[in-house]
Amino acid sequence: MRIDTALFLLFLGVIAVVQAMMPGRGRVVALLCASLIFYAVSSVSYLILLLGLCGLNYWAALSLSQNLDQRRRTWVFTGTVLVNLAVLIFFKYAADVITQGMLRWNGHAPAAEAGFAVPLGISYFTFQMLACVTDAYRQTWRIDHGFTNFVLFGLFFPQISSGPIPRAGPLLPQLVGGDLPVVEDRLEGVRLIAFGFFKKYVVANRINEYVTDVFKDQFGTGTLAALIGCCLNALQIYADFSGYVDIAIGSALFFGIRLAPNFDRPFLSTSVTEFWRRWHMTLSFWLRDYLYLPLLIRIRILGKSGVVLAIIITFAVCGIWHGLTWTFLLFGIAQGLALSAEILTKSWRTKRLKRLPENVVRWSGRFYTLGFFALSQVLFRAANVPQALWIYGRLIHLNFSGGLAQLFAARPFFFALDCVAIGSWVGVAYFHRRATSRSTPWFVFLCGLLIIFLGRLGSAHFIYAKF
Amino acid sequence: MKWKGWILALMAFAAICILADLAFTYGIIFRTPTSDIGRINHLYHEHGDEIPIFGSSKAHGNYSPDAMGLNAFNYGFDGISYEVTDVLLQIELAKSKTTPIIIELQHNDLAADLGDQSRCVPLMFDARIRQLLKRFHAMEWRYYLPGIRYFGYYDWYLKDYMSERMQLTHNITKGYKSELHQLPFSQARLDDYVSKRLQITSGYFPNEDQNRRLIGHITEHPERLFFLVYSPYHPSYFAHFQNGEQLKLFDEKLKALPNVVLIDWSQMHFPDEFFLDTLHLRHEAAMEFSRKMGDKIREVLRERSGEATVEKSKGK
Repeated sequence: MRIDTALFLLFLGVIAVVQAMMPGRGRVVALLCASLIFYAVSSVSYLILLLGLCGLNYWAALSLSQNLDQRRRTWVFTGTVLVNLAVLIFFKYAADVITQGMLRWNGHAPAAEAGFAVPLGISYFTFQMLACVTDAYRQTWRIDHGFTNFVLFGLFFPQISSGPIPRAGPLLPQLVGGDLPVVEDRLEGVRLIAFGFFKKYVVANRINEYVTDVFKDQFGTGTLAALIGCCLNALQIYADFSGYVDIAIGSALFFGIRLAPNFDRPFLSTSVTEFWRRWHMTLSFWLRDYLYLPLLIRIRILGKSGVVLAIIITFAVCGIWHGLTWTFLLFGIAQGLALSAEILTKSWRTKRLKRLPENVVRWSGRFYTLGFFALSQVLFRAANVPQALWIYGRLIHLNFSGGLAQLFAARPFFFALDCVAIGSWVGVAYFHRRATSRSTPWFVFLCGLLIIFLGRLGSAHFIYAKF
Repeated sequence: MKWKGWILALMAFAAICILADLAFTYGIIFRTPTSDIGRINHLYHEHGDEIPIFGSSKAHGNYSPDAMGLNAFNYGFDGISYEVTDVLLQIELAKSKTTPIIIELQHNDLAADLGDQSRCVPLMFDARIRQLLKRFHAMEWRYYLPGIRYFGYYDWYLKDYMSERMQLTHNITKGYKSELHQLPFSQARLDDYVSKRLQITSGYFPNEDQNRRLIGHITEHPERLFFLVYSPYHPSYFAHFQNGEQLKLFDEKLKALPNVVLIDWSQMHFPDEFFLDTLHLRHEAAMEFSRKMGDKIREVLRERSGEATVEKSKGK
């Protein structure tokens, strides 16, 4: 079930009614059933797989929370991590590689013909489980809830498809509380859902058409079109992903559960380092806590080189996590290099920038960060390296010839509507920040009208759903 | 919770949706005669002696009624399969007309496509359109809700309306669309299309059900003369053409029908400069093709009327 559909809203409504009719513990069971149904709609067999993994990780977390000897703890921890990673790697990469290999070898792949697919939210689920087991191993968190609660934590339906990646510490106690949500939380949830739908349908889907035309050279992409295309591509990914996250967080809040925020106005960042603290925050913090820091501790004797190496490896893994392609690897390495350059030049920059007015420093920082991110997102979007290089080539070889359609790589009418959509995003975001419980119906009314009259259907699911 | 605000907002939302639906349906969509829906609307209301031209984008882009010198109207639509043409044909054949009908035939209709659904939504009053959407599993609950049914299509309707009034991008005459600012011919671009074409399978992959329906329409309406046409393809299209023999058999079957004139100009020689891609002609080529097609149709009609006179005199 896609969470950007009317069916999902109906599903939310039904669960809310059922939950309201249940007594304390029954509400938790209602949420668990809803999560199981939500996943089963996608695939029953994968639901069984994920339940099995929940069982394994629950057992491991429970064992690690007890006073076992260190050797046995290490075995349990290593074994569980390896099983989780094996499942993730198999479904995310190996299955695809095997299928492609079989298709090339004999033009026949039973898995492909059977509609073999990656289990819904397997990456996010794995990250979640690895965090639990690692925290239990480090003894920074201990499990003191039952298995059904743990399953609800693992499969909680608003966040299972694309995060945010929750940590057991803050989320589990909320899930087992069983209290009915307060009206203010429900209304805040509704506002977030409406805003998420607006971002997806009005901004992301609309911009997607423009960016697709630029990348496909539909109208003869010139320099200006390539530049606008790069910027809009970054905006689209943000609108699409943050739209999904808003719907997910809003849906959880509708049941009184606060998920961790995933974005904190990243385009206001003044450096790439700050950007990654504001963009896909739950993944960034996960990578920091469970990959970067352990790696850094192991290679700390290398000094600054160790830091750089740890950053580049972390971001290379982050890139590869998106997909086993050169473009994603290069995207990750580019982020790592930018962060490393910022760390290495920090004291030098601080000394020189002190002389400039604060506003100039702030805005030039934002410009640099957004520019870098937009350029690197070309790698994220491009189907392959030659396509990315082709876009970069368009930016370098200045060409401003042609009519309006060639100049903007679009029909002027649709380009104007894209601008209206982005402008309305600024307005809706402003209204969203100031909306109260009292103004919620009118906020939903505004989003609804904009979606109906300015929205685009789009055939694509959320971009991050495929990761 | 304060319900008053919600009720007011919902009522305002419903009122705006209904008003917008009315305004768009009657003020914009049906007031754009050159749009796709405008052309379908023309088909509903035309009961004179116009010759309809049906087919997909090949029909839309290749047949200019003016260049053909015929009182014809182009009902070709981009991205559609015979399934949509079949519905348009049903609408046409329900009339008491005797004019010929021109249909651009497609070799491969396996990838049956409904095309742009925005063409169907304002015409939901017609059971045949509803049936068509259901056949493609494209019927959605929102298509019954005023205002909401045009979600995602508003800008397209508005664009058609504005394009017609401002005539900035293209010119539509009797259903034929010509781009005003066509990109100059590029051999590199065409070569790219050709190399892509050579990587995919072209051929005749019959859809027996569709063939049966087409032949059914033809035999049930002996009063109408059907010109079934294959317009030119780029030679690369035939490089790896499959099931050519089967296609010949089907063509023979069509030719055997007394009210069918099959014109196979699919391999008519046109230089590379005449092609937009491996399937579609550029404007100037479409003009030349249309002129030739007009001459051919007039010639056939003259012959047929001559035959009819001879038959009549024999009868006397």
